[in-house]
Amino acid sequence: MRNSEKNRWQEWILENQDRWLLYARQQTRSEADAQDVLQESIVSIWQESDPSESAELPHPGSVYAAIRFRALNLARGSDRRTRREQDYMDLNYVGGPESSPYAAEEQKLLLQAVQSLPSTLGEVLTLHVWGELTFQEIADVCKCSINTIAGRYRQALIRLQKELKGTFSL
Amino acid sequence: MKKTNSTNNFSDLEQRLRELKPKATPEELTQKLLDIVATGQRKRRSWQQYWIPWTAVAALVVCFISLQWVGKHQSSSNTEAVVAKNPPTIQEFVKEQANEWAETTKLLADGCLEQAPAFVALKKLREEGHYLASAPRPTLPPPPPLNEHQKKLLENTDVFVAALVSGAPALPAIALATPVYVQRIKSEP
Repeated sequence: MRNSEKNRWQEWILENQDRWLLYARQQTRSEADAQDVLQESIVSIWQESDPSESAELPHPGSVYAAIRFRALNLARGSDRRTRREQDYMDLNYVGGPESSPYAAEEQKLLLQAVQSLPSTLGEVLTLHVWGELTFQEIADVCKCSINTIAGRYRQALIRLQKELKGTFSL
Repeated sequence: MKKTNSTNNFSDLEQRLRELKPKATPEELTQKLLDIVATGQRKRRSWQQYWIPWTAVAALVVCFISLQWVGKHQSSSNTEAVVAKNPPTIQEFVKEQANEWAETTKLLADGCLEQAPAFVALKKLREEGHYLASAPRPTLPPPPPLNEHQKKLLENTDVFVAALVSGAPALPAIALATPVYVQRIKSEP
């Protein structure tokens, strides 16, 4: 493999790994599972990619789809009783920048509100806000219609708005 | 208006959400991910990837053609084997040859100015053929008497037809006359 291609891939990973890991954490039950799923997904995307020099890098949405697929398989193979014991959106791993004007308490309330969302709504919110995918791309990842995704996103915002009413000037 | 306010509120909420950033990936995991693309082996996407399916398709085509050819060859060899196993009797052979010769003679007779001798020869030949096919024939019957006109025409006809009409043995005459007349008929315009 040529160095230029290797550098492109490494830059692509460094640019997107945080949001991939966030989504992997949301889809799995533990940090270890999330990291394993992310590694396996990158390996599969890498192996199936076009090795030619002029080939474009895969779309980040393909990584989200791979993460989702592997997380679902992992969940099927494990004990379903313990599956919900640790609902692993784990937005504790989402932290605001140091320059954020919001106080730590406000951030904590916001994160708790996001964490309280149902998994389907939280998934769409994560992919759209932090994954920076369009509704169509999210629909491809989740294998749903774009209207369903848009409806879930709107529903998530409505719930957050109700949850945070009085906390922020929303 | 209410919808506009709601959209604005969503925009504010979205803005607050976007200001949150995912926590940084652990350094160990980052290194593992970078090692994947640095040292990992890709699946080959050259012609070798498509070699197995194309080979399978080619093998199926070759098998199909081979089966077709073997089937035809086997059926023809079976037919030949049956023919060789049950050769025709002398009566069947003579009858077959007589019928062929009769057709040839008819064609020949169509080209004659005077067709009577040819038809006489044809009739006699058929009688001989049926006779040979039905029962062994020790001796041929004597030829019918010919008038002067018939004798004159026979002098101008082919020697083999004349020999048949005059009572020559049917099988050698047919065997000798057939290729000659077939070639002669073919050469006629």
